[in-house]
Amino acid sequence: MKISLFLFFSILLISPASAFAVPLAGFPFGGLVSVPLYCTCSQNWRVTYSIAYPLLSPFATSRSLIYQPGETVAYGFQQFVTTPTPATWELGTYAPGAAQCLITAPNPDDPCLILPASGTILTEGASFPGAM
Amino acid sequence: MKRTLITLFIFLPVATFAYTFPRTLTVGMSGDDVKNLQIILNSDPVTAIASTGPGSNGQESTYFGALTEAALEKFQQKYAPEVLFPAGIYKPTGVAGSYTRAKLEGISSNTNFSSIGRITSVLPADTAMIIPPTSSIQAPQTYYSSQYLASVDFYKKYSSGSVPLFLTISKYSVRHGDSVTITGSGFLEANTIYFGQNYHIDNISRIDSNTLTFVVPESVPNGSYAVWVVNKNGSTYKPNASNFFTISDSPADPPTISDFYPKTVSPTQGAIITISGSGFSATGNNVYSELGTIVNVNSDGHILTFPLSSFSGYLQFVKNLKVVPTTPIIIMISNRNGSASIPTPILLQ
Repeated sequence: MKISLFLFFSILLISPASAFAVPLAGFPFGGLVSVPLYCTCSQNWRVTYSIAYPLLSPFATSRSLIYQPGETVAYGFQQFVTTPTPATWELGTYAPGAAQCLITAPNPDDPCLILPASGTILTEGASFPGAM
Repeated sequence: MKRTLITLFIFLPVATFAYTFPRTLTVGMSGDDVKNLQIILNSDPVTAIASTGPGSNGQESTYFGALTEAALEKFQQKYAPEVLFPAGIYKPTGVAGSYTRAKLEGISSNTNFSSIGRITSVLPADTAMIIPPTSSIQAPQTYYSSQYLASVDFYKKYSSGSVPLFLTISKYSVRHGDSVTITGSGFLEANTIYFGQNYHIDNISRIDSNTLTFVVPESVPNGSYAVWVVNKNGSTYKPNASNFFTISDSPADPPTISDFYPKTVSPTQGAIITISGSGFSATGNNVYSELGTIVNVNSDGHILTFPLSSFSGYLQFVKNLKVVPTTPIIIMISNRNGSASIPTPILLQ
């Protein structure tokens, strides 16, 4: 019984959340989630990663990518959370190129505003939040 | 004598009066008001019930059937700003409610009804609202709230063949002849772009279902307008949109950012952020970041300053610094002329 439960949860942890196959394209990325911004108009997330912390602090560089609910394939603990979580270490792949986070203008009936990002996350796996 | 009587008959004036519809009309109803509805619809080739046979000009009936409904939908689409938008409706309903009846009655006052109730002549046609008349009108769809329309699931699900969605515009301040791009979804091969209620350009082809490009025409005078897109599947009209699109001989430049200070900031120091660049408005600059939004910041046109603590999420991010000691944040400035972001993030630590 214990072995069965162990096998069940192990398979659950390593299985992707989405049903489609992992795409072969994409560049690897990794880093500490520092700031997730919810894009109110496009309803995705603009996630900023500190990618060189702590070795190059205070010269840590960062990258902002779009987390696309329903398209980004989540692994590990990421599949148990609905939003990117600060202080989470993540590894994954992304498609570089212009990506957009659209946020609602002060007048919601006006066109949306565009926040730029470096690419769109294709796959990602996350540690347990706060583990450093 | 016979020739004299015929001549007198030809020059007898016909009775002219505006018809008043006494009730809302919909499919399945019968009556003289239905017949008068059909007569008015048949007075315009765009809204005619049929070209020949039952329902065509001279063969109207007292029954409101499917053909009449389809013709009424064409009428509503042609005069949508007058008969649909005021009621908060953006798709033809096929029901002659109060706004539709008012427009029909207005047209009937321009139309000569003969003493037997037939249209004998029509004054110059009302040329407001041109919707591609050859397209078939689809069944009315549910109107979605602006929040649902903005969802990415809706964006994907309705990326072709459904109600158009207006998300972004490439320029806010333009001159005649400038090229402007609209992004969204649901754009068809033929779209009409409206500049306020009084001006529009027709048959705008799409780049793809998510992109439209148009050249600002001379036919739209200088001024500020709300802009929306209409096609056979619906409209992106928003009743509370501001006049965000300005046409002028000397359009204002969008904001640009050349530098910002400080590059690294400790929240405990009570930092004042200074952005330098151009295109900042005297008033009405809004500042966006992961920390929240600050609205209506003043500027001299080149310098814009604000305290970091003015952001609504500032205190939460100070708490987050305990677990994420270095937090990069982006700053975007927007005003009525456009928007710009700082090239690299400010580091909070």
